[in-house]
Amino acid sequence: MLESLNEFWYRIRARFRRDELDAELANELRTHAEFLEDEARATGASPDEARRAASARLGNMTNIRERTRERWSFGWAEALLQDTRYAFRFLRRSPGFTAVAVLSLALGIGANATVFTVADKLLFSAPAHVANAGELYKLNIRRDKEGPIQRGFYDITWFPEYFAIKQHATSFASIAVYTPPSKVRMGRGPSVPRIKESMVSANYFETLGVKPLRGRFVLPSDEIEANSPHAAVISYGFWQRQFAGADSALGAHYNANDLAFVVVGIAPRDFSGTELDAADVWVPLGAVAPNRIGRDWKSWTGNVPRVLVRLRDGVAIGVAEAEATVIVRRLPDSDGNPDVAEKVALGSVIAARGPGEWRTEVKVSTRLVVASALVLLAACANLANLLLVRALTRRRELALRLAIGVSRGRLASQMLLESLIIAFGASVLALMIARWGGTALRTLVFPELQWASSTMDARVFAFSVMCGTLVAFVATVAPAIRLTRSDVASALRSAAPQLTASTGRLRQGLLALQVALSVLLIIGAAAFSKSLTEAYAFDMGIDVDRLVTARFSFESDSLNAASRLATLEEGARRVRGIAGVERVGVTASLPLAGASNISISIPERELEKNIFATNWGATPDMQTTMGLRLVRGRWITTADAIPGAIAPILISETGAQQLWPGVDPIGRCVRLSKKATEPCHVVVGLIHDLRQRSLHETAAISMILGAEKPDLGGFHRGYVVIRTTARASQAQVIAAIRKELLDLRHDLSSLEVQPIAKNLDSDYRPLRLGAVTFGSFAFLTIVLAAIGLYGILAFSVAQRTNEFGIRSALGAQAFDLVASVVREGMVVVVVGVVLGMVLSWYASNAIAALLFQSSARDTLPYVYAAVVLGVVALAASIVPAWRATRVNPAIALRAE
Amino acid sequence: MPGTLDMLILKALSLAPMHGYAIAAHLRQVSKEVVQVEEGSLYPALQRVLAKKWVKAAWGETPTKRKARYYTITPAGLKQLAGEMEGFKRMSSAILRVIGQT
Repeated sequence: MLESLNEFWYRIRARFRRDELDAELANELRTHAEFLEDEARATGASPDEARRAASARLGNMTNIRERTRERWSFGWAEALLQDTRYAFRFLRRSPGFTAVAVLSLALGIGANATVFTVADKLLFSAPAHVANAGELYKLNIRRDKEGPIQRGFYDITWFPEYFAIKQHATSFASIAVYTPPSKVRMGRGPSVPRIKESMVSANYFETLGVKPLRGRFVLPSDEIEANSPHAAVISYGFWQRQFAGADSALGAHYNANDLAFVVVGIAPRDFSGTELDAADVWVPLGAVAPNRIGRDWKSWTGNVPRVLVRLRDGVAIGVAEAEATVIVRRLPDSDGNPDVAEKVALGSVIAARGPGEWRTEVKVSTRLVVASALVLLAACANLANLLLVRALTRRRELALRLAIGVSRGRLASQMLLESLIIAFGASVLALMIARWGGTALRTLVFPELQWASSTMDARVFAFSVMCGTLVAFVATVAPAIRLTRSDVASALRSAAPQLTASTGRLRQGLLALQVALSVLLIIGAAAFSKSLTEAYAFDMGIDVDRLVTARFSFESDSLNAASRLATLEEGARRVRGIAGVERVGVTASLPLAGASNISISIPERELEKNIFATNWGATPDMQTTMGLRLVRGRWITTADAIPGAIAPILISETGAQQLWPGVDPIGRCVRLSKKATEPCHVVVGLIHDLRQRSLHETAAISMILGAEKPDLGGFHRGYVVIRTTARASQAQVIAAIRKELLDLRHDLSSLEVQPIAKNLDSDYRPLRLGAVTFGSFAFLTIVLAAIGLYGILAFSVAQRTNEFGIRSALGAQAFDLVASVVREGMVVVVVGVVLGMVLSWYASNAIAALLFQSSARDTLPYVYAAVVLGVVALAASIVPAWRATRVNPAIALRAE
Repeated sequence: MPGTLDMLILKALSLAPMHGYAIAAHLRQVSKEVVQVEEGSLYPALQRVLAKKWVKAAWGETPTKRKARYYTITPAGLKQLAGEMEGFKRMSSAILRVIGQT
């Protein structure tokens, strides 16, 4: 052990004084030779003979020195170092090749790393700072209830359910509840900053197993409503932003939405609970909820709270789920609906791993993972192609090195080393791309989300390097195999490198693959853009482009319906005068902004199941304000709004079809309840379908009731709906409205003015995301394919110099030469395009669910992809083809 | 046998510091011309024992006023030599016993 250590040091030292050692050895050997000479002379030889004898005896001096030197070096490590140096020299000698290889690979890896920055957080990585995240579960509940809302598991537990489980369940070691971050105003006044507040139970941090960075976390003693100020834990980011990271933050006071808080602790950096969206402050639920939600918050069934649990030792997940299910089902139902049969499931805390339906963003992200992998595949094919060309042009050099005894294994490992260096360079570059791209992609996928962690972390770095290494290995396989098959003699003999049939086909195959991947991505991008166009053009039954809404939310227990209506009407009166405003109306609910469902009935027959309908309880003027489309019948007029009379009604086409199939709905009547004693409203007109909130929902029955006054019912919110003139700039109108309404009432808890189209953002976003990313990925692969094609043709032209020389000497026209080059490329492109189309046809199902009224099997994108690649192929052929026409027959033939 | 040359070199040096040629000559002489150490083996072997710190090397002058590199055995080298000689003796007597049986 000691000896080997000694030897190691000897070698290390030897590395730095090799010349000295070398000279020493030479001296030593010379002395040795002199002794040998002496010896020979002593036996009576002449000086000449003696010298000859000595050198014969000593043999090959160089050989001795070689063998002695081995003691000074590290063997394979030395060889590796030498190879690395050699690889760098080689890459430096051909900067064009190196730049193209590194850049094209960087784009491929960059696309993947970019997607990884988002996909990792959604699909793979456990939330930061959470201990044993694999053993922490989120409760998911499925409520099998009829209606237009999708069935399925949601990670939402209502407060009564939480309290019941907490009280009765024996399966859980701990159970904590929190509300996802929501915005509160910090301080008082109209233009104060908003911060994101999350309400948590006292054992929240303990359940997560996270330790405070400074101070303490929320304690059970903080959950007392009467306390003031309340304890608050702030996030690392908020600490930096608001307090510049000063220690004095602990103990600092602030006000948020009328409650006073004192900072008691700071959460560790990047901590955002189990949510992707980072909260600024965590406050004790028990103390704050009465203000934020209402006195009766414990019985509130809003879709807000999330529950996290850890199981008691030895309790199986299934057992815990069954126990919680029983407890939840025992609860009296909030709306007395007997059809509800809840089921509880324990889901992962990793965003996309719960049992529920994936969010559209997650769905799109998984497609992006696949699409970016395709880009990487194309980059890999491209690198393999470039390396093959290099190997061909270096054929003689490689053959020479084989001839002087370098082993094929060593040459292959040198090639791999070159690829690895290229790949590593590309990975580093890719990280820069991902840093920028990741931020852009995050904004694109989740614009409202404030991410706790940065896009760059060790995982992204590891991922990039891994991608690069993988590509380097895969891309080196083909040239390395080729090398082992090469015939040294013929390689040395031939003047110009010959494109052998086998590598030619391999390279054309790789290019065809690249083309096929481009086609696949172009068609994907086209399908998404088409969906987006369709979505924008989709008739929602109202004038989406012209409408702006001002949404008023009132403090929960402040005012009665009449005074809330008075506030809304006052608001409407104020905005009426603004330039660019055409009409103004007031309502409690309107299409796209969300609404609740009611049960209905008709006199003709018993409805087979619970048919839900939406009543947009609007006043007659709202018909024109919203721009409803009358299909048949007549509008409701002010003349219909007679106090005491039963109001007439408008019904949607889908509704009419459902209630009276094949019969004229005009003149029939509908009850807005299941009870036959309720008044029956006469249908006077048929309107185009309206949507509650989404493009994707199947249109439910919509009804517009000709009420005299807007019915605000029990809502704590209402809308002033503004119809702008056709020419008005919405941004300007919105700014003016905000200004008018700002000082309206101080008991408004919030006022949001926005175009009604904003409600469709979450529908448009996945489509936009698909179009943008598929589009840019398609662009990348096209660029890669163009590089590949250019490489093949340029090489082929160089190789066929003789042929072109002879042909032009024989009188071939420039056009013929160009055509022959272009044809060569086009054959490969056509094969690739066809392959890509077939692939797209079969892969179309993968994105079908995300598209809107279009398909990845529409004809147009296929034509489009073919045209794009044809044009790109032509462009990539121009330079090589031009070179073919410039061949000087005299020079070309002389080179033979 | 691997390591034998190292042992022979160490044995020679345990008598007196010597230069490369002297070691080769000494081994030839003592073994009555049986052990002919090739220079191609000698010098790598010397580097090996040098690296293991079993010997030290220093330039000196021969009685004939030549500059030569003299190798001196170190305490570690002596220990190594003793160990190896022990092992070698055991091995050779074992071999002798085996071939003596036939």
